[in-house]
Amino acid sequence: MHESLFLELMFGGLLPLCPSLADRAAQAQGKTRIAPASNGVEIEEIHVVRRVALDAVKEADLTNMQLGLWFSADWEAKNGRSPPLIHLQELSAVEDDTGRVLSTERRLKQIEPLRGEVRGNTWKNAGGKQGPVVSLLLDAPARGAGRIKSVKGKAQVTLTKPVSLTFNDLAAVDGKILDHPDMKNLAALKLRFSTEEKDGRVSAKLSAR
Amino acid sequence: MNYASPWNRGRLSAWDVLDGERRLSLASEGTTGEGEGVTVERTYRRRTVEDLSLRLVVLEAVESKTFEFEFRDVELP
Repeated sequence: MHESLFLELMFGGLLPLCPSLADRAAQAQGKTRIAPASNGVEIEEIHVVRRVALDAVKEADLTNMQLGLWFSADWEAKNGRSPPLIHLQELSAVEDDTGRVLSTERRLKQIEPLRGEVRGNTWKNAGGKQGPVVSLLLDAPARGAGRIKSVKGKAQVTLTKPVSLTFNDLAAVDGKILDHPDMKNLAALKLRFSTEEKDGRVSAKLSAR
Repeated sequence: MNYASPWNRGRLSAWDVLDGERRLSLASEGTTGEGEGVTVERTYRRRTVEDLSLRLVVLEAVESKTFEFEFRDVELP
């Protein structure tokens, strides 16, 4: 198939975007595909870092691997100014082909999207699809490793809109979990607000637990 | 400040103390963690909370998708 016609058909929605066609499209554009897409998820980047540095403290994280995942889809709504929320609900052990586990317990504890919703700050738009990119910081593979055996998981991506809520009586909400008639689920966020007047200054605290 | 997981704090995008429509300028700001929680404290050069208001910007869900993925034998660079 002629390259330009192929791209026109694909991006015009006339051809289904199955993995093999998507692979061919990436190749046709002279771009790299790291692995075939999996249900809309693409491996966006693998970045292995191996460094030595003079005077680095023992705990310095000089050797690691960043694995970028792009959650691409046809979204009905996209407010360009409102960040998406990403919750990585499951992630199976990531292991290289020498048997080294890259998703160690220490690394998993530092992957915030595994603990709940976090705001995404990278949004990618390519090939008619768009979605957030999440970067996972893992251990570096062994020097002799050639492949990652498996990257398997489940994530929920939520598009959002910003809602502004005003509390006009600070005394009425002092020390309480915030609730507001304009947002029925606000109390579920368990945000506690308090104020203190001291030494000619006002201190305002907002806690989330 | 990203009020991150696992308390759905990612949904709190911003908060400010206002005098009328004007944001009070900060004298100082500090963050403390306790267990899995976090507290942000802001101080303002102001004697009283009278006539002040609090404004939150909260993210409300408009569309959600679940992605299940599996990649096998991924070549390393």
